[in-house]
Amino acid sequence: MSRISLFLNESPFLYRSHIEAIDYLRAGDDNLIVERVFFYQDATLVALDNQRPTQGQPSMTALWQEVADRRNAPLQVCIANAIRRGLFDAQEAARYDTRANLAAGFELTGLGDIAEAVAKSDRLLQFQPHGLVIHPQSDNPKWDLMIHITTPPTLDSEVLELGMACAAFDQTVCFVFSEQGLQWLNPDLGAQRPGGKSPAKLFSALNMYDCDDLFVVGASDSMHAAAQVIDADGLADLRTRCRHYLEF
Amino acid sequence: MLTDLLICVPVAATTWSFSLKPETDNDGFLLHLDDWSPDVAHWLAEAEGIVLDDRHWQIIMALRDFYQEYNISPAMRPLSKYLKGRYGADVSGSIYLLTLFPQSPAKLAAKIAGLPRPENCL
Repeated sequence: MSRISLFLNESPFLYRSHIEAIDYLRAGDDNLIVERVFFYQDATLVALDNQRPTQGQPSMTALWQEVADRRNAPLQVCIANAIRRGLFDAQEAARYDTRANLAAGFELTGLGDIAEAVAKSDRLLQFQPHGLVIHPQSDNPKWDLMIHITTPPTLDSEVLELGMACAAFDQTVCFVFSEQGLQWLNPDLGAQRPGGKSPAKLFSALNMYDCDDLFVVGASDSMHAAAQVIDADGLADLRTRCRHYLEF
Repeated sequence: MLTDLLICVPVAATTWSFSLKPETDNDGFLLHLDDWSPDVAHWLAEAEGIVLDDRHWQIIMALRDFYQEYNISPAMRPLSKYLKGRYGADVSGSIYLLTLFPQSPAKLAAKIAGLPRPENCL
């Protein structure tokens, strides 16, 4: 028996990642135990109730509900990401004096649950716009989770928060920055939205969260003091020393 | 407006030296972080059944510094690590924190210290 968890962070409206994930679960054999499906960032929007797709099309929400029911898979939505986007279950709706709008079959959960998925799953499968990429896995890993950031800073630093939360729940985490992801490490980078948190402040907090293993691929003039420079071979080597791998 | 009046009713029969009750959310977190003062902390603690002494204040001031430095209301583990670096092992353990701020120390202490509600399990 193999335990897997699925991880989605792309919008259900733009790319095929949700369809790929649903198809994967439908086709999966019965020996596969689906620990949980975790929705992060804009993937949380799939849990919005009351969607009205074009007539004749099933909503992605309905497809998830159907496959989750068949595979007995919990559909877990990151609570902090969800609330930022206006998604509430009954309890949070009461807290914020608003109305609940979470679709049936989905639950809001803390990042403690994704940390648990990292800890308990044999495989953490991330479905990206171009589909599922299976990475080699180490038998004797140095880190439980590697977060590889190749895209520029987002308005909220949800990617950093993901790693920090996993670390706060006893998972060993390393961050790798490459390509446009190197922009995250610019020491002059301020808050990306009005009143927002500065990524630089979060970086300085990484040590408090025991996840200060930072790597940058290639040379960079916007280097964080604590980051170690590696090349493409170094990156490939790092990947073989992690149990799970997520890319953003 | 009647609702405005309700919010602005002076707090009666307390020893705290603020005249307007700060607004809080449904869980008792300050809506406006600038409203915090030591007296407000006493008032917030009282609502939780806690009488603040020097041991509480040590944690509260450390939490406010943590927030200033990192912009995060920390979860238990980073809070504990921060306290350990600042005050040593005796005042940073989770059992010690539980006795001062029962049940959910990081969340409760953040509330009394006038920090935003810890989100995201951070």
